[in-house]
Amino acid sequence: MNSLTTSSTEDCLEIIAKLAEKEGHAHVSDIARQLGVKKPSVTATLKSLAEKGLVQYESYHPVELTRKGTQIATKVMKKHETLKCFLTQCLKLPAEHADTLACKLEHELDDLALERLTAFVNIKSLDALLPEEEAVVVSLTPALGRRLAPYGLVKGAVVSLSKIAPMGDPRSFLVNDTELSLRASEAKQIQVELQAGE
Amino acid sequence: MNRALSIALVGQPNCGKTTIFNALTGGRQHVGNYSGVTVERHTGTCSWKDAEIEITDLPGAHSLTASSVDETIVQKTLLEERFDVLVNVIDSTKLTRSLYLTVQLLNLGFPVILALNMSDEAETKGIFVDVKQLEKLTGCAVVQTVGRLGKGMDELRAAVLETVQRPFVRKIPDWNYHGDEHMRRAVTKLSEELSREKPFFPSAPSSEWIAVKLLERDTTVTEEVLKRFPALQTTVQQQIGMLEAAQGESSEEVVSDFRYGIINALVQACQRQAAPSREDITRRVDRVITHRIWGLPIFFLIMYAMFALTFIASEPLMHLLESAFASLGALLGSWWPEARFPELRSLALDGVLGGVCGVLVFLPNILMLFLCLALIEGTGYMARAAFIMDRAMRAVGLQGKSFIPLVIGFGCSVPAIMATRMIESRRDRLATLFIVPLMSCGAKLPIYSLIIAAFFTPVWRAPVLLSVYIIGVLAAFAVAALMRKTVFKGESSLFILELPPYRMPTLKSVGIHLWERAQLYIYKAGTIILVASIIFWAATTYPKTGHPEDTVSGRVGYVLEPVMRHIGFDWHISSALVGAFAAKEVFVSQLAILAAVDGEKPLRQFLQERYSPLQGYVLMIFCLMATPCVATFATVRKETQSWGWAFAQQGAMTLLAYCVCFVIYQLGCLLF
Repeated sequence: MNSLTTSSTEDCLEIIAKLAEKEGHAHVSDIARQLGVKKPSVTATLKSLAEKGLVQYESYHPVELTRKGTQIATKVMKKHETLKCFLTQCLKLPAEHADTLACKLEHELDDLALERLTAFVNIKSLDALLPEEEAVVVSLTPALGRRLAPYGLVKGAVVSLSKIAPMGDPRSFLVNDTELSLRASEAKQIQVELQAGE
Repeated sequence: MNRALSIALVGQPNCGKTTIFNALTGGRQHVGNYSGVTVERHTGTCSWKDAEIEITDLPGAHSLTASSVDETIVQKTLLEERFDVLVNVIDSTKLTRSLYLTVQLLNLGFPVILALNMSDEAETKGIFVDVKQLEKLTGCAVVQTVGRLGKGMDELRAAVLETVQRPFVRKIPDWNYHGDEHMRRAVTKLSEELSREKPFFPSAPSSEWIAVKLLERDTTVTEEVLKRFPALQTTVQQQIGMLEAAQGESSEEVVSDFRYGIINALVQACQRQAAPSREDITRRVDRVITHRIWGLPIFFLIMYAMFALTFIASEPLMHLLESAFASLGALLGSWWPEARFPELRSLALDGVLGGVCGVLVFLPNILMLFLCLALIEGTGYMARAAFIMDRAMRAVGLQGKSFIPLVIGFGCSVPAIMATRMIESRRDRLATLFIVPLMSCGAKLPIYSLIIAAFFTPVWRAPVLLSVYIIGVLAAFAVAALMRKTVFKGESSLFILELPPYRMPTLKSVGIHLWERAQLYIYKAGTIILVASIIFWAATTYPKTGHPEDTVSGRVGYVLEPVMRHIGFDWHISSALVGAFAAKEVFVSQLAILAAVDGEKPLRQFLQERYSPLQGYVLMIFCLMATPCVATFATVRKETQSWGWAFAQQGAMTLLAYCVCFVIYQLGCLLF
């Protein structure tokens, strides 16, 4: 039954997560359009993903990721972002080119390589920011971006960690002179680049 | 001038709009140090020279986009009403992000005045703004103000008069300098199309403003425009598509980049900032108060201190009032011979004096409670409490911001239910609003004070009272968790919370707030409670047959008794509970009337003779949970726009009360 390759599993999960983030739900037809394949083949993929416990799927209902599915999707997206950063900032590739290439490379990147690459490009997600570290926002998801722009949390803004609530979450960050608290689930969707010094 | 000028105060949350409103009009609106204190617009007037100025205070808005109830109100008001001048209140310590709203306001095309508020705080932080330069670049009058000290108010009034007398020249955005080529082209194209179809909104904002909003994918504006001008849809999509392709990012991002481009240029030209110090009072206080380990114990300590103060500190004053009312009653009783108009005498002594004074005695309690709440709200601790409690609240399916209405709910459910507007997600908001009445509000305090004093020895009083509050809070969390598993299923929503710097509330603002509360309470005693007392007195007196069971309230009580018997209530209490729907304090006045009619006994003695401590305890729990009062009912109906919610809340709470009381009473009977 295990006819799916790692890369097609990951691609499919990634697209479901992105659709859910952007539209609020992921329908089979949308997934098919994004993957560039026919609907029946998506249905087959989804059934196999459901068997592995990665998605919840019933006919004619939007697809939802399980907890395990979300974990994998988040990781793939993180790999994608890190690779994209490396490709655009270190190799100076144009954004679109970097995007396509990152899509291919992301499946081959193992944990150790990701860790090293992250350290190399100095990019991490906001929830991993340590006290005393200062960072610049490099990317955030559109839905979050629209809500955070009025607080001054936009691309290029300088952020630092101010405090952590009892029980570890939420965390509060300093953005210019504003102190803003966010949960880890949201902070994960914001990528920042560490500043040298300090 | 023959016509009153109308101005609106607009600004981001917690920038001090209401403080300025109060300073300008001498108004008494409630202020606090967190986002979302003002949820309804209010108006007031002031005069300057010989002009009359009508001022509208609006809730805070981060941006002119409707992403919360507050912002919807602001956007709607500005699009549907025409003001002579918009006064944009700005937190001077946060110039950059405050200008995010300013840029959008300026683009509307109406005259704007910038009020740089909290300029004293900015100065101590080493932030200096070049007012002249800012005036030159924005084309608006700029006034520095300190709302809480009333500084700059005359200058502000003068600026209003001056602004209406000259034509408004919009300088921002200036398409020669601002925005890149793609943005400029998209806006020009769209606004050309739009200007053929104007006006879309009653206030007639510039078509450029509408164009930018369309590019930003603002839902309200897009819907409204496409409804009138469906043909525009393809053009809008086309322009958004072109913009996104050219910039390689979403059009929302392009628009916010465009705005911050303008803002950064302004800030660079107008603001001088000494090296920012990383160490200030707020940071130092927060290191203790929001500490990862000490944060929670400190929070519970503060809550406990609030209740302790409410009950202990107000005790001497309460006794004073009690004896004053007692001697007033005695005086009136001896002055009015019993034989003369006995009916009227009974009404005056038992009904009016007994009922109303029984409630008025608790005024010190109520004021102390509101004093504590005002301090928590005014210093900025409220937002910290939300920050600390977010994780715990998530366990029951709510969020940190739900916590603020719940704490306000200890004072009164009505402002608490209005305060739920600060919660952006509808699901979280409805769940919070539903459980607010389970917080023991100030009106339930008199009931607790009476019953606890009657049945429990001093050593037991504090723990018993605390247990009632805790049962309420636990029930609230249980109901919330249940709702999030059934009616409001789904992931929790976005949580964005701003922590303001600590500030000292002014004596004046706290004083005004307490005075308002005292007036409200006395007013309530003189109206609802007075009327309810008279009605209840009549119901317990007539028809006069000599048997209390035959009176109206006796009959009502007897109808209810078969049900209420299982939770330990006799017909006396059952009939008195009916009145508690009007206002919770009415229950106390009704018990007082019952005691008086029964034979001129002191209320406490009447209770002790008839009931057991267990019955007393169950009674408190029942009053806490059952039938939220009429005012709560009306507010829920208004806020949810649905009778269904209001009735569902009444039904659910009463059912819950009955079930909880049944368990406690039956268990108690087995144990004792």
